[in-house]
Amino acid sequence: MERRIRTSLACLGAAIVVGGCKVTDPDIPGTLVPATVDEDASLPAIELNGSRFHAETFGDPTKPVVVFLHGGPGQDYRGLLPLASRFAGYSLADDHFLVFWDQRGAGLSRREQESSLTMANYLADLDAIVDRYGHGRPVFLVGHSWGSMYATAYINDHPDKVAGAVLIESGPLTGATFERIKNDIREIDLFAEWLNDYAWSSQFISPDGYARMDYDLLLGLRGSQPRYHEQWDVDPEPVWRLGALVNRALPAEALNKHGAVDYDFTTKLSRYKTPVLFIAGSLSEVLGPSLQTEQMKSYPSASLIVVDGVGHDVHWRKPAIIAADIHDYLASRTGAQ
Amino acid sequence: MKPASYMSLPLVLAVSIASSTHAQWNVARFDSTKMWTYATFGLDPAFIGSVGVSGVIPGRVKVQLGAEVGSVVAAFDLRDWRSRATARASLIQWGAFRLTTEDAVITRGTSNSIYTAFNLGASTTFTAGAYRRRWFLASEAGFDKSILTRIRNSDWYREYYYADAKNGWYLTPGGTFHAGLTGGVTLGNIDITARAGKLRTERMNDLTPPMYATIGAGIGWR
Repeated sequence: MERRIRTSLACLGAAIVVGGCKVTDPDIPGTLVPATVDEDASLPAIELNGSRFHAETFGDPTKPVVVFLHGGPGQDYRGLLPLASRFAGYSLADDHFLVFWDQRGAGLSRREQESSLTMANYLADLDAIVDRYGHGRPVFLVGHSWGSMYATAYINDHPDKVAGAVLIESGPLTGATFERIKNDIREIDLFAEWLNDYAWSSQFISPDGYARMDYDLLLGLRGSQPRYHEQWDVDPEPVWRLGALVNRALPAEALNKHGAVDYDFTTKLSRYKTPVLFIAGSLSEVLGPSLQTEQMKSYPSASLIVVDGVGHDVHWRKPAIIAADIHDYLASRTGAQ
Repeated sequence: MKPASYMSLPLVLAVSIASSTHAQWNVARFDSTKMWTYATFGLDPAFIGSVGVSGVIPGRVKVQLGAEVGSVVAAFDLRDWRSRATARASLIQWGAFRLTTEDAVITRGTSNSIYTAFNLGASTTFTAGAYRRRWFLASEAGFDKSILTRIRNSDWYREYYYADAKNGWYLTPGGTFHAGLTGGVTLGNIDITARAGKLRTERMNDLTPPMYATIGAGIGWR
């Protein structure tokens, strides 16, 4: 039926578009947003835990493994890749095996049904990544924003599988913290330009189908989080493609019957004695130094580095500094120079 | 969207002195009132103000034809606009109860951080309820289809996110269902109307915002 309607409308479109202009289907892979690993076989991909993930590795697999966890939920690892670059003759990949991957339903990884986008599956995915690349050795985790929350949730469940962690601008580690700062995370001004752009857009491209949903969500990025002090107009942290459904599904799963965000990734952290490094951008008002100073207390041993002059996108704006901080931390844990 | 320009001033004034986007005028008054000029304001699906005119075509079945234009009022950017050519009629009458329809051909435009677009669409809305000469209250349900959209991805999107994003005409890239209530009262020759309800995509997914709510004021004369 839908095909028949589309065919009829295609004829109408052909009649209306004078001169025989080509009419495109917005759901064709690669038109509005890049194709996923299911749609483009040339992308580097791995299969685990019943899904297919966009992933890349750098370095010698026999070296200590560092798994990077991007933000979101629903962003991708494109903005973390500079951390694998060479700065002043050194790259983290010289001494470590770096694993970058797009999380379930995010970036260029396979799109999944909402029922599959659960915290339990997310933890199982990371566990499978750790097993795949760690080969029984504990791995290091480096997370940004949501990725730091994800890392903490995993450490809470599998402390013996994590050799250490670097948590950059971590999101709230408990639902109570989230509830306290939620109004600062996203600015909801009914007459805000970004919100009205986002609302108005649904008449042109409605968020049905993964490609259109992911494209549409990008409208909600720019301008909606002014207190993060990210560089949106010039040199924003790039993503290949957002995962709109997971961006909605994981937060929705965390809601209790009263509609409040209810989770706690810190319940068993007291048994994790390994030092953890927190990093914050000095300009970041919401997830910056103040919140991270508070969140460090969830771990028995933690330290904080504040990077001057940057906001929430600290790893993108100052990758050389962040890579050096990560190197120093990893060296202190592995004994490497 | 760009900051306000002086060109948006007349629209702002029109909105401020009156007030839906597509108001449901009282079909029970089609006999006595031939013409309306009106202004509307509300969340539909962004905050939009519109002005319009409509007139009743005499005949056995009275049809009200109308035209309206509107612009998103947040940041007063005339590049976020909508125009509608409408036809309204009462299909069934049983006492004060009426079943009505409104069909519209729609053009609209937008310019945001990731794309600029021009759209050709169509909508149809049915109402069912009580229509008296001084007031009406009805439930409404309808569908607004984006048939063809010309999209030009922004330089910002192409430079920082996806260089191969395709510009051009996109077929049926969207559609929304709406369902809610509409009502109005007549004070002299002035009609005040309101409508509110829920919005869903054509595949019944959630929208932001999930609802619409508009008010309108129209002046009618014979």
